[in-house]
Amino acid sequence: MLNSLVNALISGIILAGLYAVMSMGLTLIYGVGRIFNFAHGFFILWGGYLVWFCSVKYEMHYGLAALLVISCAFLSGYLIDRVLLYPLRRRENFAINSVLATLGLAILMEGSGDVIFGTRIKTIDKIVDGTLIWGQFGITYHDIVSLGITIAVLLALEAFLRRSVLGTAMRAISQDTDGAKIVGINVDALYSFTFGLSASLAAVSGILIAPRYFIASFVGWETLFKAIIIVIFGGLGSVRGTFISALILGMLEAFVSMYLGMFWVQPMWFILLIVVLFVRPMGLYGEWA
Amino acid sequence: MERDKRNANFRVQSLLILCLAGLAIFPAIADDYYLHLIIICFIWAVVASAWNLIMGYAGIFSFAQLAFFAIGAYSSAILECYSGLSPWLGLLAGGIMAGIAGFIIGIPCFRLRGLYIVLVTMAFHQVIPVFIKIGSKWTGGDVGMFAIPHYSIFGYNFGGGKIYYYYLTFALFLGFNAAIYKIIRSKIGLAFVALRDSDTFAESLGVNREKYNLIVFVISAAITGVMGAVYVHYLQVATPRLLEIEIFVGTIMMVVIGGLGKFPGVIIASFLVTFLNEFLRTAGAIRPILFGGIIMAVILLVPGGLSSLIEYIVGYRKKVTFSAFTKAQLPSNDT
Repeated sequence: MLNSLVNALISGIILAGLYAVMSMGLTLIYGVGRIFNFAHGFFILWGGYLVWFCSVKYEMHYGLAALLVISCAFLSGYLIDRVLLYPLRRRENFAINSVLATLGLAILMEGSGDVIFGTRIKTIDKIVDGTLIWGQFGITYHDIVSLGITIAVLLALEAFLRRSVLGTAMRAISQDTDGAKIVGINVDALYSFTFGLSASLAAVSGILIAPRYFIASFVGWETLFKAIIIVIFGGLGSVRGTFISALILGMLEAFVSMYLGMFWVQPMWFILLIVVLFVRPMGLYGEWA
Repeated sequence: MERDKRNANFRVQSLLILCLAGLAIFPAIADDYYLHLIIICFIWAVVASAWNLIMGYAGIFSFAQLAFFAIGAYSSAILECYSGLSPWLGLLAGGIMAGIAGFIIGIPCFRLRGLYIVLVTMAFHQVIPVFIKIGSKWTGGDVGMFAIPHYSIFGYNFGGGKIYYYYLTFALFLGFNAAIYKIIRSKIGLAFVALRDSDTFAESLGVNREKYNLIVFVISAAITGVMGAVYVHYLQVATPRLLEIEIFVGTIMMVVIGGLGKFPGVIIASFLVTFLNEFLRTAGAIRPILFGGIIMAVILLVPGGLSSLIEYIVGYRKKVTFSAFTKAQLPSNDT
């Protein structure tokens, strides 16, 4: 009894970490740029694809491959914002146009991923092999490493947003765009920068998730829908809310799949979502845009 | 001026009547394959039009349209496969069940704004396959339901030929699109547009936001549900594949290409997209690349979609031909 409880707790924490990194980019770009990026799931997937490409096809060192992929993600995120979203921002109906444009991008990325990397399901080796066994509890080294990376990334992000000039400017934009413009913040450049940051967070999460599961084009949609629920639950645009909701939903998933079975995870998430929306429609930490 | 308008109206009307007459006699010259294509076009044209009503005119970013479609499809199919009642009742049942689903989804959307509605309706769309799986004793789960009975009228079984379904879907296409057009032109439609363009101002004038949101959700969902019922009776199978992202993308493409909030453009676009979809059936992974590219290109380059393109062309021609014509021929008309 206690045994399975502790096991569920451990896997819950690990899932929570993965989910937090998975949805952080989504909430960040919404908070700053009011963009809901429907292609986010495919940024995550492409992180996995590219790491597979570098480390399996070209036998590159894992760390080097990860670094390369993350910088690529940043660059492409920056460019996508410049090319696709910058013109839309100049027009009315930005909310729905950005949703539809990123939906188009998601479909494009799905198809081109299939064309470039093939439709076969791919797997990557774990970062570190083996399992730590301590009494009756077991935890794979990969999970320990990925939890460590997750915590480091989240702490770094928090420090970046609180302490650095760029992070402060980003928070300023999310609080009051006009005010930020008045004090001389280059809003458009920061939007692009935030999009790049969001894409590189997605790549990090793809790198961590890919060895745990597998890489195939439908994974992109699944991760997107998970991230959507996490983000609404925590409140769109709130970094802390997203972290807490990832913790709650990760724990929920671990316990539900332990006691009720994997199948019930999705309905449970949805029920929780409906309850939250009735009680507090803007999510745990959210505010209306 | 008045004459210009009447002339343009006459042109549009005669073009419309020509198109409809063409569609009405189309079965005389076409083989089964093209009849099938046009039937599918009719069905999706109504779905896209209903989606346009809620997304383009009411400005509610509902992504649950295919969920309503599937609900209508499944409730009609279940009713007939297990009760043995007349399939025509299923048509009604599909509409009613989808309308109820629209009502249920409409209520939480009162308290939500903009993007939150996209996300919640998307989550609703995602959870329908789970419900189908939970009720797999009735719905057949992942495999789906087969051998759904055909309609029949006066002893004629609709399974006998595509032509029956052609005229059935043609009638529904005409009826529902006329109804949607009437709604857009009525007081209700005005209220939708007012709420879309400035909800605070509209509410201050006494337009009841909750009421009209519910009305648009229920109407759009019910129409979609009826089409879902027709769709599964026509194909005789109902599977969770109805909710796949591919179909979702195809339908949203109709609305985007046609132009959000543009009534006739969406109908034309749904014909275009259905044909494009069919001709690219063997193209494999090229199809999503092309579709994604088209969606992005239309939003970036032609924000109003096909309709604005047509308006641009027609307006341009009108300016040249009509004004030159009236000034030269009918100077007395202005004075």
